Amino acid sequence: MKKRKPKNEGGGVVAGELEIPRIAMAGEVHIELFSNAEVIIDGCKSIIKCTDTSITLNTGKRAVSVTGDALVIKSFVCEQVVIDGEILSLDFVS
Amino acid sequence: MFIVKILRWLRGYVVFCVSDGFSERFLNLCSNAGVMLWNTRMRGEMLFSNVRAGEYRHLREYAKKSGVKMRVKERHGMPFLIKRYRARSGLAFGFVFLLAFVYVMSSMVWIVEIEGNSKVPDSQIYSVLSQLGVRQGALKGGLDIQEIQRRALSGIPELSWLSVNIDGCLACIEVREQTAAPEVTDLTTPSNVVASRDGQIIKLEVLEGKAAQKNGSAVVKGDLLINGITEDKDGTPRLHRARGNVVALTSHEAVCEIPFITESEILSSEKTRYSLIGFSLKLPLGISGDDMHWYSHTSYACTGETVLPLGIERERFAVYSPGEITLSENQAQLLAVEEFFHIQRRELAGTEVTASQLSLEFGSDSCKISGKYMCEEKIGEERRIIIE
Repeated sequence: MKKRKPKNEGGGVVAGELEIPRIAMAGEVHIELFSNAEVIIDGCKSIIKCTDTSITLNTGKRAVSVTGDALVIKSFVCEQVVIDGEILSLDFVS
Repeated sequence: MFIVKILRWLRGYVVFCVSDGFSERFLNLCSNAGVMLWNTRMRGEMLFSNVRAGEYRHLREYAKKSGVKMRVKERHGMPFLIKRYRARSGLAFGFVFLLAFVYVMSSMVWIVEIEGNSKVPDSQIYSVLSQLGVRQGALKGGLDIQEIQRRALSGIPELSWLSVNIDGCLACIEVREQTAAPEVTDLTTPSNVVASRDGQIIKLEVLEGKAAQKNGSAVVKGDLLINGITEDKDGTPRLHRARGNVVALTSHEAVCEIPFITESEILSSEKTRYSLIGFSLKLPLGISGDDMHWYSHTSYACTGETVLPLGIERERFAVYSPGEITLSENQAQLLAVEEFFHIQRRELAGTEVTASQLSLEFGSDSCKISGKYMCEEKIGEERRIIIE
């Protein structure tokens, strides 16, 4: 079986060719994780699901799911979500 | 983050809960509309979140669209505090007054400290500086330090350096005194040394001139002790400024007599008035007694060694009328002792007492204390030689 080459999505093509950091390209999701206490997700379109143990966010092409305990959305403005709490895992959901 | 919390508190915010319906849709609608929610968390089936007080009513539209029910749980911040205490506006005025009072008080000089002086008294330095504006109660902002330093130095010639340092409410004045130039001895004016008092010489030390007396000689006031005129070998007179130390054994007497019946001023009426002192201001709490003898005592508030410019002054006004008073023996004795020591101090100034004899006598109408002293003292007194 022929192995499928991973697709270089969106602005990633240009960024990859010109060796520009992906953070400079619009439309890409940018995630910062501070230990397991806080995660900042830039590029969030909407909240799909919100419970105290799991928060799923729509970031365009993929959804990001944060699971943990006592999760709190510290802020949600200008496509930026800050989530606090005891984070156990961060998954990309197709 | 702390600043953000303060700003949120100042503008006021509410904690609300959302139940039923689609809470995620509600959050997305709020975010799309630019409504800032924070501390959003799910607890059981309910979603809790915070929003600025002014924006809460806009959320109803999104709640309706997403089919959720909203309910305010808590209200925080200054607008709610003001609303709660609206009837007690005095509290707010009091708080504003307190802030203004603290601001005004902290912009004043409370304490003036003077350091580095040993000969020039504090009062002289303080007097000059207070005329230039550095005094208790002066506003710090209005002080031109450079100009004050320059003018203070010219006002106190005994100082070589002066610095005014304002630190908080403390004005620290650091000074350095001038070192006085040594006195130039005038050796050109011819003079003799004569006795200023009767006595017996016990030490004669000639620095300039020629001794006219010997040790053990008895002299009376005005006798020549050191001669300022000497003769050379060829008989030519030479004039000097005679100098030297002449110590003699002298006798002194001190007498004090206090009559039992004496004329004095008798207290006929008195009045006390208290005043509040704050910086250089004085607030009397009563009416003063004019044309009366008075004295005052001021008690200042202290914190440790620091004396604050706040206090209470007690003034006592008294009217005295002339009259006669009769003293008991003890009273007369006490008065006599007090007076006698004043006389003794004045009489024996500059002497060293080697022997003394004191006596106390009670007469029919007075109490008398007398003392006889044998002293050692310098009796040399310079007297110019007048040449015509």
